[in-house]
Amino acid sequence: MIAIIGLSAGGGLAVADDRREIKELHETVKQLQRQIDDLRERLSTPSEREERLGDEVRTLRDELSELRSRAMPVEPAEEIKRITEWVCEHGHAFSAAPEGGRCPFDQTPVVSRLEYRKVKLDRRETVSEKIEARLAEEARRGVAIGLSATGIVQQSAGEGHDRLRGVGSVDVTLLARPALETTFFVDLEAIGGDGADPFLGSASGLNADAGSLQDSDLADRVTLREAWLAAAFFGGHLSAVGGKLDLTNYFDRNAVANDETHQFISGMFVNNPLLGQPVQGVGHEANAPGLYFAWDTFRELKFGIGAQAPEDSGDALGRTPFLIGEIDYSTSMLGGPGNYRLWGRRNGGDDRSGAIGVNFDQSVGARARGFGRYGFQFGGRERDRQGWSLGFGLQALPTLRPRDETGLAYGWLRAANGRVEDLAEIYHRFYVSDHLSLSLLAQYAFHLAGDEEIEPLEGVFLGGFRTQVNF
Amino acid sequence: MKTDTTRGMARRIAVALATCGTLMTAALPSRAAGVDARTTLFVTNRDSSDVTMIDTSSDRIMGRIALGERVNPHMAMVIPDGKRLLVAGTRRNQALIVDLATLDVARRIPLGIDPEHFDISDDGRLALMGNLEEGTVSVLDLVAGIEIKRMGGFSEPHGFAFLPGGKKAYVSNFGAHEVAAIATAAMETIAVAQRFAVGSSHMLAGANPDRYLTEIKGIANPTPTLDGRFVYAADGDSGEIAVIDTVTDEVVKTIRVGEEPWRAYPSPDGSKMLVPNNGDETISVIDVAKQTVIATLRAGPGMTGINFDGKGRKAYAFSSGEYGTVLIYDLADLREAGQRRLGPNVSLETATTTPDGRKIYLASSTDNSVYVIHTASDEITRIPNVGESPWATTMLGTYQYCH
Repeated sequence: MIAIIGLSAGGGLAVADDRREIKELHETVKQLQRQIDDLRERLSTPSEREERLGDEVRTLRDELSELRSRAMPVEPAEEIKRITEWVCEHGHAFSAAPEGGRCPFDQTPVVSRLEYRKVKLDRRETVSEKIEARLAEEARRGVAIGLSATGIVQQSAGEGHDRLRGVGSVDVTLLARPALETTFFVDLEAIGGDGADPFLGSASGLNADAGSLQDSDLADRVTLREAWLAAAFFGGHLSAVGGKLDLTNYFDRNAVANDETHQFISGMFVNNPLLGQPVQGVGHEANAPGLYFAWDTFRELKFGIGAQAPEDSGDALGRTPFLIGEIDYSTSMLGGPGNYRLWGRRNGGDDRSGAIGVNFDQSVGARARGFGRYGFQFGGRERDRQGWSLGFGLQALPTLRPRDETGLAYGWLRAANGRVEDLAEIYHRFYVSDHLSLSLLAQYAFHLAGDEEIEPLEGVFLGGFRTQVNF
Repeated sequence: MKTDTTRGMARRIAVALATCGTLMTAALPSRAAGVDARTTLFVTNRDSSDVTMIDTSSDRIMGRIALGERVNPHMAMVIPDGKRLLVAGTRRNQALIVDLATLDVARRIPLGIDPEHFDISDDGRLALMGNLEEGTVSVLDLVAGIEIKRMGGFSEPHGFAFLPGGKKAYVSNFGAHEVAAIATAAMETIAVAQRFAVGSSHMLAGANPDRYLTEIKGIANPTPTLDGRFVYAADGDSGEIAVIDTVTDEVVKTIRVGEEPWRAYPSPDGSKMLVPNNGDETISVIDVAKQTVIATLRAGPGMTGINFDGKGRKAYAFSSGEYGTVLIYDLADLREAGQRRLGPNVSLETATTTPDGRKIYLASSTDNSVYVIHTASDEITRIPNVGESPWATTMLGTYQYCH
């Protein structure tokens, strides 16, 4: 029993020792934990020196960011703003509508209005952007000058008709905007050379750019071809043009066959020969004082009417004018735009003939566009004449030259002398740059109608070369 | 250590919850405490350096969020969680993240020079933003709110488009005739995967080098088809569009359009791409299935955008010539359907169609206004004094573009 008690007391002492040891160990662990926490805290807290360095880095980073953001010129940009302001009856102005729509000073009604104001804007704008904007502004305000020059040589081949002819024309155009939606346009032109028509006797013209304006001593003359003022009204639906006009700029237009300097050269493929010109001649003589009005629905339909004095003279204004009207229908089918036109005209002056005609151009796929014209003339001295033409234009026929154009057309006309004139033309225009193009031209006249001095001809070939410069 | 372990666990749980929350909100955008991004239009004002909020139910200005001095914001987009707005702060070379609950700038991320345009992946995880003057593209982690990478080798990186799913994106160079494909599947390996030459301007330049030594009109934007199968890249100089197959990553077709095409805009049903051509003032309509031009429509000068009504029956193009003009087109018959003039000296910028398609909000910088086009009637109303030079517009869940 005593032994048991002794053992038990010995065991109790051992347990007490163990407990003490555990307690000491626990204290040690606690101390270590505190030391670790202290060390961790010290490690995570930067020293004064580290803090200073950190501050310097942050300051430098901010300054760098500021410098980078200011790296562009800080001169403010300038812009005219169209602002809304609210104005009382006695002139008090506000940038926001006053409460109740009444002037806070005198309780008069307030109306809102649009006003223009120049503002300085703190905007990133490079020097080149500023220069570009200023040039665009100057161009908008000033007179835009255009320069166009066309040189054509044609060699005719046929019995007794092997001749080389050259024609050169220069146009200087001036365009200005005297008021909002108002355009003033002037075209000054000089032409040298009559082409092959004087000895081949074509009724429709084998070179629509020809017609010398030289004096009898061969001195070049610059003449006023067009000078007109145009304006738009009713949100652009109505446009009006008045002055010395070329009405073919507005009627019988065609996307494929309407420009002898870029497309077909034969007159038959520039305009319908039966469209009739109120004034016969070239250059300044071909145009006369006139008016043109158009109503654009901004949908498929557009309507135009025009009137022109029978000769290029102020005295002719009181005489029966040349009158013309046209309906344009635009559509989209066969993979591209199509334009279909119906026109009718009545001559003034001595020739009271009338004519009606149709005209279309239609894209077929991405690269081809067809065209056609038909006209019928009645009344006047030249009765019951007809004419028609068909053709197409191709873009990028050689696939490696994406901006080249090729055209092929055939046309037929009952001429004023009753004879038939029909011919075909093919051209290929090489795009060299935005300002320069070169064209190879080939025409074959199956029949030329001739005139009072020249007998009708058959089977006449003309090969040509055209250079066109345009700015 | 126990404490650290507990902290670590807590952090992991918090990150997991946060990530889960982000994914959940990305899947189902919720109303933020500040503004409801589903019904609010955000408009960046370049010259007052702020963002205007417009309530699209009443068309009233709700307020403006100041972005800081000389920020000159360009483009903005609501991040898909609907709680934040990402803004390009062009002049301060920053991307800004605006908290739409507090309406404060929550984060300013330093970037390269002149950040303007960007796109956000549809999971809201990533953004690619182009530093236009620096020729670099910044990759932004929108969860962490940091720039994780800046890629060089671009020439005026102007347009960005993530494909659906966010694993690939395309970047266009306006200072070159080139588009780059960016692999974005894993954050750590984001890099340029392919480069595509677009158009045949090199042939035109051969005859006329002066023209191309003074100015390049490259590719404004890569536009994916709505299914993400193809990307349309319009080259301004050549007047051509490269169709890039996004699976094989190769140019499968080149389509000739008009002169100086700006970029392609997909119709809401994805069947057509409309391309405004500012050179010849037309709009080319491309059939996406056939990859061919099916119509060329008369348009106007200086077109900066095309929007559609909700059903895709009508398209609206914005032209800034002598008059700011809205051109309207009937897409069923592919014809003009009228136009509305907004006034002289009105420079139209970008627009947003509301998710229901009933309204189009159009920013106009020169008269500090936003025009509202009511697509049912084509009537137009004006919200004046929006801010100084309103530029970009954005709403949650809408097709986004900028210029």
